[in-house]
Amino acid sequence: MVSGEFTRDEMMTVATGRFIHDGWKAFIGTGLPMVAAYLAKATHAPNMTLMFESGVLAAEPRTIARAVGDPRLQSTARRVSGMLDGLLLLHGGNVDFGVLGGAQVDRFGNINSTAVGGEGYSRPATRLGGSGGANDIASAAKEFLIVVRHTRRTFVERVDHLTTPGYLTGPGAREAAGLHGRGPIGVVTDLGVFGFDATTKRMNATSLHEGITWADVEAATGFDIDRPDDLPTTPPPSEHELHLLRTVIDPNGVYLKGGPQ
Amino acid sequence: MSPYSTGTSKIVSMADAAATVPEGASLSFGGFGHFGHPLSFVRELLRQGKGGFTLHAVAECWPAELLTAAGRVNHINLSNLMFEGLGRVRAICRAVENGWITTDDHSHLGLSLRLLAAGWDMPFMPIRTMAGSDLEHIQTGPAPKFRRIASPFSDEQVGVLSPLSPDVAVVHVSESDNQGNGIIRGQISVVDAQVRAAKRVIVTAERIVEPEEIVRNNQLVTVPGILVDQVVHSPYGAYPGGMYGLYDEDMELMDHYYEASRSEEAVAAYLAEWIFGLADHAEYLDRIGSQRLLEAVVDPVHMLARGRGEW
Repeated sequence: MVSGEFTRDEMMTVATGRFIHDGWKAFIGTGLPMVAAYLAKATHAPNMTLMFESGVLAAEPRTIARAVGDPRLQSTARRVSGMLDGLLLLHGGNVDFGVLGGAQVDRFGNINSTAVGGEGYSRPATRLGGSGGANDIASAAKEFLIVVRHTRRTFVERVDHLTTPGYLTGPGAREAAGLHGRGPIGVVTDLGVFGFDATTKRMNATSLHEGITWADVEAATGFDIDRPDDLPTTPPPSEHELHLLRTVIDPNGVYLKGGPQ
Repeated sequence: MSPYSTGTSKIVSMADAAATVPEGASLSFGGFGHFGHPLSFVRELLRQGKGGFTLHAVAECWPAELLTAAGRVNHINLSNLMFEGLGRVRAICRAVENGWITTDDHSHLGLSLRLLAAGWDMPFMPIRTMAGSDLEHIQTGPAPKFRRIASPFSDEQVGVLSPLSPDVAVVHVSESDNQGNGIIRGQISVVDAQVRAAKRVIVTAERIVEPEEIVRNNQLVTVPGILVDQVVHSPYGAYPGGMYGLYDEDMELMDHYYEASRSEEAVAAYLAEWIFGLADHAEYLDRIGSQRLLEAVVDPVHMLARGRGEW
């Protein structure tokens, strides 16, 4: 790969990592968000704390973890307990940030990771894993970020099952439901970075990744995303960030496959 | 002579322990990710032929998947069932998609707190999460799981969960004495709530130890022996999953099941070969072979087996 080129996964990873602030206590699952957290910790957020729903607190794995249950997380954590302890720390308002994915996302940042299509919840076309800690994280973490690939099947007008609350039906709905977390602060996809309007809570565009056009976004989205007048290009990964991703954090391509896509 | 009371031993054979599980029972198992599932017990339970089970399944993907693949499950109260690093629990997904089993979904915290409510003998447990989502709005029961009540101390409306008590909880531990005082190395998933919530508790243990060893590590005892009915000695009881601090997951063998789970025919052949075709856990371990079992033993610092990826 020649210098300056990067994959869409690398762009998503770097864009995700930029949302993580130094000092934050964060619930981050596996996959690309985990790589992003390692990158943030190696660059601008050295004092972030990694937490997991299994009760693993302040893990500092030396190599990339394959799963939330990976021994690498437990063997490098300051404290290991269980699900009730880990999730009640979250419930108590001690977690700044979470990263969540899913099979469907709507304009208010509601996520479905339970059941898609068919006759609905009890007889879906495709049954998925279910909430796990995702609903708890979206409800109770101060903020959360959605990271998902951008397709028309994923970005839908209405999620088939509302597993995880974004802004629910719009302004005021989270407050009415009694949720203490503020809700989703953004969406990172392979096409761009998106946010939510402070007043309407509808998804809007923040920036598009290099080489992506507004038509690409429209073609891959099943609802109208609000387009601001000024739509910049997402700052590409730096040489330093790419170096860290490829040679230090995920050199064997556990999550990031090499080469432009 | 031990200075500590050894009482009447609760140690029984695996077959005797599994035989106490009645047809149609509600069950909850320990385990999280690919670690700590009481799989030697699950295989024996399958061999004994009983079914019609309801599962209260927080994170025990492997027990839930194997029991469902064999057609032994009618209903699952769950929070998340998937195979980390692999993908969907296909036998469960197929059973839901075809309407063969029913489910009721929770968040991890929600289902854990329902078990804890039962364990603490409380009529309900307050919770702030699940509210506003379909985890609140869709309740397929059979019993209601989530309601809202007015706080008696403020103007606030708050979500409350109903208690959930399994007939039997089965948990796998690293060490236990003959009374069931059990130590789990690494994260405990939701075993603390499961053993308090269940009407009967069966502990399977990698090692049976003298009371002195439990006393010496008494701050690590997750399972209080006073709650335990039966104890089974079962080395490698979580295999082909791992047991933190002892042996690593056997991804190749787990992947073997995962591939088989693509079709009903292949999964039936898998169950015939790896469960029904073997007399007991000893025969299962014989089939795996001592070399493979020893290769899974973890390094005591990194807690990973050699040759299973970078430390």
